Amino acid sequence: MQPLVERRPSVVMVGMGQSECGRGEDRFSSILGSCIAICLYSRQRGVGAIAHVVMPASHGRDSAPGKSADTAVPHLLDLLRKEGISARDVEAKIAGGASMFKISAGTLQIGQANITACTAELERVGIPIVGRDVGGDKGRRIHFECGTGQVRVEIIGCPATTL
Amino acid sequence: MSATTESMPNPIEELFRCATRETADRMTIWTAGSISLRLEGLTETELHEISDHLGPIDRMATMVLLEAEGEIGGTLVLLFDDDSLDAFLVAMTGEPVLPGERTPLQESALLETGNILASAFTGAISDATVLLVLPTPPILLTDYVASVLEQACMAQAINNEKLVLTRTRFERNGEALDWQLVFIPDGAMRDWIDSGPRLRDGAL
Repeated sequence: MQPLVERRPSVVMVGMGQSECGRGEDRFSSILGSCIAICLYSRQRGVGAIAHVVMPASHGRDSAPGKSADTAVPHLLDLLRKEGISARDVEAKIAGGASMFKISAGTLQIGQANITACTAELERVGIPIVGRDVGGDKGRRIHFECGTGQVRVEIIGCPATTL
Repeated sequence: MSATTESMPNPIEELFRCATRETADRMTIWTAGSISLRLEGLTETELHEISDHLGPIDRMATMVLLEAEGEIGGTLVLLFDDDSLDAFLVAMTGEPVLPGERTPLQESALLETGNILASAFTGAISDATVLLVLPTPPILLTDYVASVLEQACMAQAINNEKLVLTRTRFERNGEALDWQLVFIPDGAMRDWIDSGPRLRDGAL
């Protein structure tokens, strides 16, 4: 007989380039500017995975897999596969990709490129994007609940929304 | 400091210490001696560990942003905490601060503070390196600190796994103030730092 172990749901802050996987009431939070949070989850199994994507492409660099859109999506699918979840059972929600400021002509704006790259990568692997809150010029705080796939998006000065 | 953080080579830290000292001198004049700052250090950090060095960045704050442009450059972010900022604005403008509102004069005082700090900072770097470095006009933002830093870091993060940034410590009348002047070098300056540059003789 296996011992009864109480598993407490965790709340984890996911920083730039990081990725995580959880289940049930586990929640992940991120603060986003030009970065994108890709949240993948299986509604049936109550398992979710998140990546805090910093830039569109890795260009073959040996970076953290969550850092770039082209490596983050396959990595999240690997994490879910280890939980026995197939890509065809997965839905996606994305948030972020703001252009936070433009001080000069040389200000690097990468928010839109991140949106385009994340969307393209999810389309490439056939994962439907069922919710999105992207673009604009304000930062976002998001909370992703693995079990339900709900993503709560908070923008300063605006009512919170749920994807 | 986290385990992944390393100290940067000394001449570069000295360069930023010198630039911060120049900045502190101007700040002292601008605030009639009430506010001072000094470099706490130059840090190399993983992207996701920035908050280990700058304190909580998952909060809302008022920030003044400028870019240093030229042969080398970066982004300067002047971060305030709202309580002490209100006291500063009352002292600078003589106008009361209303919740969630700032008068044009108060906004102007903040932008001018950024201007003064950035001019001193970039001027000192330009003088020591003999490279062109000029500040842009400042902008004022109120948003999540992490969201703003994310974009400010991008020019370095594209080509580097770790970020180099400076940390400062502010004091008001000798007591620690929860403000930060963060300088995040751009890609050109990061390459310059990594190349082990020489500074002008007698610059520091």
